[in-house]
Amino acid sequence: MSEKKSLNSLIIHPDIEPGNNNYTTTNNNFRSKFAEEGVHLDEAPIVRLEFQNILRIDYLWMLKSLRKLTLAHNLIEKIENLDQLTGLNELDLSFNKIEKIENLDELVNLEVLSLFHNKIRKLENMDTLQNLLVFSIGDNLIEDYKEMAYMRRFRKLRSVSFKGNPCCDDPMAYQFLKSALTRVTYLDYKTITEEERESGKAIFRGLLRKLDEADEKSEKERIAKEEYDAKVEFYALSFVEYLSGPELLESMFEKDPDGSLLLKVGGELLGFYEQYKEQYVETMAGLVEFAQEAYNARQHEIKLFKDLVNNALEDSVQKSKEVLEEFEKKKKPLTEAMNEVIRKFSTKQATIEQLEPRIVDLGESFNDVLYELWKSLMTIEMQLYERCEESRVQFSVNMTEMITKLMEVSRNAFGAWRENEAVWSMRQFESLSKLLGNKVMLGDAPAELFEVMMDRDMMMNLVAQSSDNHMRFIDAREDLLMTRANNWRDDLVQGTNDNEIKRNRDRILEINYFIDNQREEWTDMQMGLTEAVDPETVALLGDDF
Amino acid sequence: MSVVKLASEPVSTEKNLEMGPMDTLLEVNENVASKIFDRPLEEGEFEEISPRIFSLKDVKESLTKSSLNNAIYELGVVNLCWPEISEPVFETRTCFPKSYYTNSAKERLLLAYAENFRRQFQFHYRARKPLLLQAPNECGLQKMVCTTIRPTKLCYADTNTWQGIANLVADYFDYEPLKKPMLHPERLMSPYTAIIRRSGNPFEIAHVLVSWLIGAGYDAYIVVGCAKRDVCMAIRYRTVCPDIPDESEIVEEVPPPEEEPRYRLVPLPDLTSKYCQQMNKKEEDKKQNELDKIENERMRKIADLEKPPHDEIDGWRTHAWILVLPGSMGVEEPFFIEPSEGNQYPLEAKQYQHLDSVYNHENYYVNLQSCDNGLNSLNYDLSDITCWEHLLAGEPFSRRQMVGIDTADKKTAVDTEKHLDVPASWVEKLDITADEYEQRYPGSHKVIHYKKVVLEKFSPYSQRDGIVKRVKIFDDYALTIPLITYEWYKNRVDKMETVRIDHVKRQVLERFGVGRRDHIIKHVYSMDAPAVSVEGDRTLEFNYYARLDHLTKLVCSPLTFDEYYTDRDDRLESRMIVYIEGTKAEPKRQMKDITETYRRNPSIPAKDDVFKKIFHIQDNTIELFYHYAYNFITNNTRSYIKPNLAETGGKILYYPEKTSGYIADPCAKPPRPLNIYYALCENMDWEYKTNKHIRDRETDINGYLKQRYKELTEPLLFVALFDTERNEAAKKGWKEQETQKAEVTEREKEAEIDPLAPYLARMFGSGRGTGAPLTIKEATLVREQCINDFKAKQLARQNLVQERFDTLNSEYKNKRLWYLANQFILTPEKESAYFAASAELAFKVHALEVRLTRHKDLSEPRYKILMEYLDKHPLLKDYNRMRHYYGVK
Repeated sequence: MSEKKSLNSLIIHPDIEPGNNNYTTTNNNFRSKFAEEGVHLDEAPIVRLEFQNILRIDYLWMLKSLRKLTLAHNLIEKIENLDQLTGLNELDLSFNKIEKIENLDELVNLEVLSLFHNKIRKLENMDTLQNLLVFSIGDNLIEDYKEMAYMRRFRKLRSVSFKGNPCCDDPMAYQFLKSALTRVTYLDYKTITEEERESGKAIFRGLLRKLDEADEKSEKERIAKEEYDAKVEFYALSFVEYLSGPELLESMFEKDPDGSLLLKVGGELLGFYEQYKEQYVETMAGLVEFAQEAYNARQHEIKLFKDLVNNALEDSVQKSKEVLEEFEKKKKPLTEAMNEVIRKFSTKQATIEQLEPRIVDLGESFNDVLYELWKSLMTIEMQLYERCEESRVQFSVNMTEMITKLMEVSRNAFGAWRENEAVWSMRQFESLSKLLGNKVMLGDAPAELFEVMMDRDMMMNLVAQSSDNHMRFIDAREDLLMTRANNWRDDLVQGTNDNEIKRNRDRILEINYFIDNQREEWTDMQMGLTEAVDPETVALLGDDF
Repeated sequence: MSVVKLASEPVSTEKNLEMGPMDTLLEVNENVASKIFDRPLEEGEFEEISPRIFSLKDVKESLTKSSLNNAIYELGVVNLCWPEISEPVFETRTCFPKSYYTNSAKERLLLAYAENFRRQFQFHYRARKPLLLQAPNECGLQKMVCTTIRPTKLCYADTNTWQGIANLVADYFDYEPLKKPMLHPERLMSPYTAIIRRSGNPFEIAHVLVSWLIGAGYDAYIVVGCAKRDVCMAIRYRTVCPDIPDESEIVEEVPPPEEEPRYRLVPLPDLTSKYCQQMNKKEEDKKQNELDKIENERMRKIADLEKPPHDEIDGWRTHAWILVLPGSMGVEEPFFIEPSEGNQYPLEAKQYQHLDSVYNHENYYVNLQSCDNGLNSLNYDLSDITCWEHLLAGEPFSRRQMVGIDTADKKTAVDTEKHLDVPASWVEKLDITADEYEQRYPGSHKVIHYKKVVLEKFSPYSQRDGIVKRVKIFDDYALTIPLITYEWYKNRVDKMETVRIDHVKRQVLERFGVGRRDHIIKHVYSMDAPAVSVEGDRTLEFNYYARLDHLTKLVCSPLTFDEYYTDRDDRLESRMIVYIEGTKAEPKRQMKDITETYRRNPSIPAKDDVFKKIFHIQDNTIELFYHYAYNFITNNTRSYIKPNLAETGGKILYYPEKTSGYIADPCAKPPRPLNIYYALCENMDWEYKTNKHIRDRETDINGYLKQRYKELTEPLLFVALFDTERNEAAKKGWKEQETQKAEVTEREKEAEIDPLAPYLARMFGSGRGTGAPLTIKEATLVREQCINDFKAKQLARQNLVQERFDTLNSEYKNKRLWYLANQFILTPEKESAYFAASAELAFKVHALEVRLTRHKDLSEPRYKILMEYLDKHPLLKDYNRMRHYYGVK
């Protein structure tokens, strides 16, 4: 638990710049403030624990908003327990005894990583650190400079420090680094010139080409995957993901072993299968197109509604601000008058009895002004709420209507699919019946299939099973679409209503809070006056506040 | 009218108190104006007598020679005898081309034709004004008006459109009204002379304009007719000046949303009384009606008084202007151009009352239609012979409609083709030089008086300060009380483009082009403000984009100093400083408050984003206002009373009782004292920096103002690099270059090579060369040596070339032989290699051959030249004489 203790006493407050934290000379104000407030572990963005003889990394999970962590010059042997610090941007583990890079997978936002002066032999386990910008691996035990080709995968990497590894004695090491890490601009904090890169390239041509090819391949795969994901995501917004193209149908057959087994019969069947696929694609294309249009229409609808609400809100805020300004103007003379009274009293020009009617007067008029303010602010807010209500209802009705329409179309489409399925099933059965028991025709079929085709019952069973499977699959997909669309609508409508209610409540709370605050301020002023006076007078004035 | 109203407003309201509302009478007084512009052309000098002959009066006076001449002139009789004119002189011009003082045979024929036409016309239309068919030119020779038009294409940037040409003509000439306003001009000098003179009567100017318009491709005609007095006299002080810049702001209307909004706010219940509203409206309407009535009455009076005075011969004043017909250069509707103004007028313009005839360089058309319903009621299809009487039957090609005529048949071709047409013009080409074009105004300067406005135009570079146009607007017709002056500048080094001086508000507005070092684009200042101090009323606007500090605007006044920024990285939007006046002890003004506002920074929450900082310097406090969060109507505030640094020894200490604040969010946690403390430190530091910044800024601005003052008092004009006329430095450079070149050629001439020099040097040492002639013996020796050497050299060269030629030639031949022997066993590569090599060889051989022949050709003349030279050589004088004497070759 030694770490814990040192942690508490040594966290430096976020706003102090690292180079500026000179404990002895910083005036005592800072320290006393710390003492008063305690340390807010969950808000600290920067933690430095250097020269602390720390043996293990632990208990850091409580530093939720940590962005920079420095654990340099300790005795850490293993990277661990950093999984919770996902917001970490900078990690300094230099001058430790780390032997293996590990457990960094969760730190996806890491940009600066220093492992200077450790005992690392191999670069590994860093694939998820795609945002890495600066990396220091100097003074470690890397024997083979070709290891460093690992760094090529970091597309944002700009600076690498490498000096001090055993393989640095090899003159080829730097040549290789400069030519292989094409995206890195600074090596050991020096700019890599174009000539250096070129000369390196000449030496390692073969190796580099291999690396380049591998990179290119993985890059292409990555782009294709990203594109595909983006497309799916886009279709998912309109609830028709995976419905364009034949892939869903194919996956349906894949999931259904009986069906795919029967398909192996080939011949006529394959033609029917193709036909089925074509019909399916056609039906679904219609649905997808409609869903896209519906999606655009919905977005437009949402935008219209949001615009209206936001404009109304803006107007009301503007109006309220004007009202407040008005209030400030009215309040000013009252405050001045009150100050005048206080001045008179404190300079003993008048006694409290003489001033009392004046104070009461002022208090009353202030209360009037305040009440006026409250009333107008509340009116504005109530108007806003009520004026938007009808649109809100209208909006939810429209949304429901749109979703219903979409459902209808999708029901039709799925119905068509089912029909296609039925046709397919029938054709399949027919063509299979023709082949039933025909040993010659089935000569080259797999053994399992052959067996099935020999027995009419078995075959019929299989066909029925496959058809059942398919129907279930279709139902599931349709259900998914329906539930998602409905949920989406419910969330949207409910969310809109909830938000509006919350906004309304927040505003009313704010208004009242402000009014209370003003009143309190006024009371404080009066209290300042009456503090020195006997409690009787206070009791007398007390009614007003 | 609007200008009248605008201009007369302030004065009339002032006078209202004393004289009542109707005293515009005093302002609108034609006499005042005429006194002011007591121009000779207004009264006198004009014989406003009614013409005697054609107005069908009884001529009672006796028939003397002069009255006969007058009758001839008034009737426009064409003189059919051809006077001999020798050495014509007109004003300062003496050298005229022959065509100016003689008529060619075809011109004579045309004139005879015209006279015939005139007589017939006179016979048929006795009541009409005589036609203008001819007029004596500057040499006193009668010329048919159509031949006076000389179509010319001007090659300047803006002379491709009628607007450009018309403006050029309007600017280029001084206008001379006709001496006898009801009659045709007594002379019609050639447009060429008019261009030289730079002034002319309306007919002459119209001829220039029509020549250029036709040259530019327009279907343009001169119109002879009658116009109003103001037009004929070029009086413009009853017209509104067209050059007054439009200062009304352009209001951009937001286009209404395309589709019906589907969602609507529920309207608030309207609780006001309809009845009351109606009554109020009635009341207001009534009031407005009364006001309108008074206003209308006033406007009517002004219009009444501004009307031109009664003209006795209205409808009889002869004038010439331009008609442009559609069909070419994208003209779609016929319209008029007034040459003296350069403006376009629609056909229904009231100022043109009557149209007698139109003509261009091809034909003359007399109007047969009545002009009583305005000129727009006429039919402008000139080919319609029921509306237009043609002088020449031979229509110009463009108008001819060849229907059913077989031009292949010679006889019909002659019948259709051969009519009399207008001969080529007798006038020289009407080009003007680039210089004249740029100079534009007669004497580089033109003044036009409009209603309550004086417009002055200057040609570029003619004025020291680069002014090109000035519009002065006055409050009264007598031009005594200036209201606003607009000035336009060109080519100024300080990039000043326009100036607007408001004499009432005593305010000056200067606008600049981009590219100044201080990036000012607009400068507004009071005339009373000190010229080089920020403590006056002035506004400076900057081209913020070019400035590092992104300063957009500065507004200064004696006690405030406001800066406005755009798009700054630190989101500062404005900084306003309020001063208090200096006391006796400290005369300099002192800062009271500094207010800074910032834009919202979307990356941090509103509660931490400062919106406004106010430093109360005198009270020693700082106020901070934070931005409004979403759905909040109050914002966080924080105020500090600054600790006294002197007491704490420079340390900023924190006392919770010296700060107070309001947190808008009722659910938020109270702020931490440490953060409050940091904000205090930061802002105290910032206050110090701001103070420093303001001092720097004031120094800067004072510097700018000093610079401006210098620029205004000592204006400099910018000369383009390629301006050959004005670029003095470049001119000097050229001249130097030229002299240098001349010197070099001079030197080269002097340093002609003396082929004898090396032999002389060999014989006498290098000092020799200019002394006395050599003795005959020496001369023989030197000469022999020289000639022998020359011969030897020529021969050597020839041999060398020959030798090379032979080698290459034989090589070439060998190669060829080798190829012929082996051509069937060669690989394609080898074959192509051979072809390449042999082509190169052939080329070389050919080159040598050419050189050889050239050498042979040249060696003979070279030798001759050498001999001649030696024969004339001064040092060989004695020898040559001897040789000559003995006839030795």
